[in-house]
Amino acid sequence: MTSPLLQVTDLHVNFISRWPNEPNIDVLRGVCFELYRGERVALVGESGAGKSLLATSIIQLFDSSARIRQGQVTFEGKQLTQLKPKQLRQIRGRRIGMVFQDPMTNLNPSLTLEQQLLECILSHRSISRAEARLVALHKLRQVHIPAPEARLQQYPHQLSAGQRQRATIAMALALEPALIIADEPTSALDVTMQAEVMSLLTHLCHNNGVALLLITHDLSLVAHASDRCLIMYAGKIVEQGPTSVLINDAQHPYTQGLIKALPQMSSPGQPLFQIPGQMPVAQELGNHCAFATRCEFAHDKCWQQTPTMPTGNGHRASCHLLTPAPARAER
Amino acid sequence: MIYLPQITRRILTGSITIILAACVSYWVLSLITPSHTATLSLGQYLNNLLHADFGRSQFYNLPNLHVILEKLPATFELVIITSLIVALFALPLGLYSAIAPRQKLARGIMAFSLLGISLPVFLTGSLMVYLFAVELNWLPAFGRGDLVWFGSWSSGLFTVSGWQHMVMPATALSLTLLPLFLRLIRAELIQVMHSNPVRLAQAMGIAPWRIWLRYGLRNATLPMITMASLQFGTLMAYTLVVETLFQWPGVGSLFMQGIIRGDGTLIAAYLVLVSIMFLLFNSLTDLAYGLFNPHLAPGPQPTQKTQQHPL
Amino acid sequence: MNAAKYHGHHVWRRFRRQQLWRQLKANKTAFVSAIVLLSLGILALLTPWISPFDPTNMQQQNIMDAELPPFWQQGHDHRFLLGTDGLGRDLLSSILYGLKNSLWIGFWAVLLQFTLGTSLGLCAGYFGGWAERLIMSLADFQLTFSSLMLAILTLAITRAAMGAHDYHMWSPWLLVLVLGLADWPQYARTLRASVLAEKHKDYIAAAHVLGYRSKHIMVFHILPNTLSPLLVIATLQIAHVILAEAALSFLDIGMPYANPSLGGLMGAGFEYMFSGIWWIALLPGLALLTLLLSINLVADWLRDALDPKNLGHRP
Repeated sequence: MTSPLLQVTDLHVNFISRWPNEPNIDVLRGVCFELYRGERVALVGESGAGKSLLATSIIQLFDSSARIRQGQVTFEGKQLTQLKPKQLRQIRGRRIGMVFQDPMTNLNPSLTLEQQLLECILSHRSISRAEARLVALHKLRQVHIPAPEARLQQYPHQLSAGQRQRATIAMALALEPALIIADEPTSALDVTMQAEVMSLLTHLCHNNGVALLLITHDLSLVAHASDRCLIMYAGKIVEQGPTSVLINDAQHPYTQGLIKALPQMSSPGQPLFQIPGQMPVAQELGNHCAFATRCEFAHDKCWQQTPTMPTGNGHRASCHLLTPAPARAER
Repeated sequence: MIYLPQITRRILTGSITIILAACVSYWVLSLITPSHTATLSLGQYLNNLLHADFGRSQFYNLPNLHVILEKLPATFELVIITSLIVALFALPLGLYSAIAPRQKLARGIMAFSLLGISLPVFLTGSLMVYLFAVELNWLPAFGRGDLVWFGSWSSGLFTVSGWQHMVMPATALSLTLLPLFLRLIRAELIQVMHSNPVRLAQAMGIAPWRIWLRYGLRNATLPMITMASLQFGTLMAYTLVVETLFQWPGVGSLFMQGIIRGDGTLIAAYLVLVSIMFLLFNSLTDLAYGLFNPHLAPGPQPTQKTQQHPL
Repeated sequence: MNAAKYHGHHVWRRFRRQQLWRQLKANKTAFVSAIVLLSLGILALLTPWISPFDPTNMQQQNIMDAELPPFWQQGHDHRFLLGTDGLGRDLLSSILYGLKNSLWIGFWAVLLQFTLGTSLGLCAGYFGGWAERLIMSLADFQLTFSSLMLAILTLAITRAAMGAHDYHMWSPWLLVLVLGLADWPQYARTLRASVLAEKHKDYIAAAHVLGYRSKHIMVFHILPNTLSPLLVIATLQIAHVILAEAALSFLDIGMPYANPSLGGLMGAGFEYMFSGIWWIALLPGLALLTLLLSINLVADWLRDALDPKNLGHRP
């Protein structure tokens, strides 16, 4: 088995409280997963589950008050948590690219596309400006932006939302990274654009051998866009496995609920399914299963002990219902 | 990009403002020296203005335009040097206090700026005069010093004595603006650093100093221009006070002397010229705004949130 | 009217929920400034009773007492703690009266500005149309020229027209009027922006549906939600007006010499500095600085405390 491109082990991330007497609560509570070269992995969860925080924690792009309390992030054999800022900067962009959610606000409104793309490329590669420009044009063509030479001279506000998001994807791909983390890349686009941009992203990653960590709250996107799927709930990964297996045979009650809630899964005339209740906030969590408040199968053990994720490589979930039966090992 | 309709509208409102100012100045003239307006109608007055005849000063017995233009270099140089001082100190200090807000020096800078807002310019001026002129006798308290003439422009910037006389007035004046710009730059930079484009740039691994310059300072330019245009009037007022305090022979002290002497025509001419100056300055800031903001029409928009105090 | 009582109660409850008192105690700088400000205010109020002399009373002035230094310097007179000015007036009394005058003018001018600015701002925001355009153009115009400049020009010209004597008879009222009229645009602008934002919210539509009259909606529904920034502006403006009055008095177009003002004392005392008599110009300056600094610090704190993001947060 080849070693993973990215390995996150027991990651705990908390926010430093503003008030001196409040303890710092963990928001990510022991996240573990691996990602292999060229793989497309989806990270699914509701808002507040910690998906975006996980993404920014990998490249340590924190707001002022979040920090990694415990755990490791290993990328291409290097411990990202131990690196100095300068070394981290060399990895960001060059080896790990990011695509953020909102194309309207992510590009600098006072710089042209050319300036932004070139700045990005020239920060990491010592090539001439003309060469960098050619690279930029090539990438813009790859993302199917028409008339790229003209587009380069334009400002972000002169492009449509779909084109802006494509330009962001081009920027992420420009340095040919090994991994792209896409944080809800299509949520801010309208439905017609969503499918197009999504398929563009996945195809480009597939064709160039770039691994993709796709973060989304939309389970229906995941089926076509990913090889493997991670389900996140309340700061932990509760189920993971190959996408097709996971969707057809979900083990964790939360995943089952998510799938049942998809509109495609309900019959006409029937009310849409909803998982009752809400995800608990970080302060409410303790030594019990976080999903117990909403789970229809919850029993005594669920309130006494936090379930653990079985080790292994295949489809597995952390739920007390599944122990005595061990995880299936299949790939 | 400069839009033609905007320019014509600007010229139109500008002309109306100047005509209004001229009418007001005529009315002022009638209040102060009614004897003058007894023989001069409003129409004639406006006509004279069009021919650059601003009347004759009763005190100086010279054409008002001449008198005012003679004093203009003094005020102009004072304002320019003040602006330079503000720019020279506000940018690096504001940048520093945004990058390292918890350092002792940064906190000291912020405390100083809070003090600076509460310090009246005439208190600063008086303190400086007492300390440096009376007690220590390092700097002169009055006037402009030795001047050099370039045609009709008198400059104090080419002599040591001229600079000595410039130090205290310019410093006192700059201390009124420095805290404001310092806080503005710091606030804008901190805001920009939390914005999405900067996050993306950081995710791309671009070096911090580049981000500070490219994104930070660049995006802070517009609010600075807005602030400058808002503060211009206040700067004019404070310049007047400083000129009176230091007996700086500029248009401000000229105006105050005219008031005390009851020199009606001079006051009226001053009003018209001040309006023209304001208009010119506003147009300049509009232009600068249009240059720096590629997708907005020229001119600060009325809904800019930076029009409140940047504190 | 019942609706008024209900809304008043509502606004007060929300005000208390912000736990301003606790927040004030938590922030040491603001707390100290508030205490200082309060003390200055009380001093000013009690001035007619606690001031050792009455500087407006010519009978109490003896030219032989002129130019005496404050108590820590040689040659002082124990009757005059902070020394005397050029006419023999006690400086401490003059400073106290100056404080009183500054706060008095500050209060009334800000009251005028606030009333004018909020009414015009409400109308502009709520009614829109030509009223809005007119009010906002006027506001823009005034903002361009800056209130201090307009005040200087207006008052200087009035002085030139009226002559020094008549002018100084009327100047306290003129100061309140001019300074009040000069700065209303700030309130109007802010309020208009807030009103425009609130106008389209659903609770206002609900009020319309319920049949409330426009004026009622403006005053009792929209205004309470937009009050916080206006209060901050008002506080800052007190400092601004006091500063303006001091500057105008310094230039001799403000308060008359007989009715002392901190700025006027500084203006009159300026020349005396050259003979080494520094206290006439600088001690009132110190008092002015303390006053302005405490107001600005309290206003700064108030702005953070009233920030809606802090609503309901535990201190």
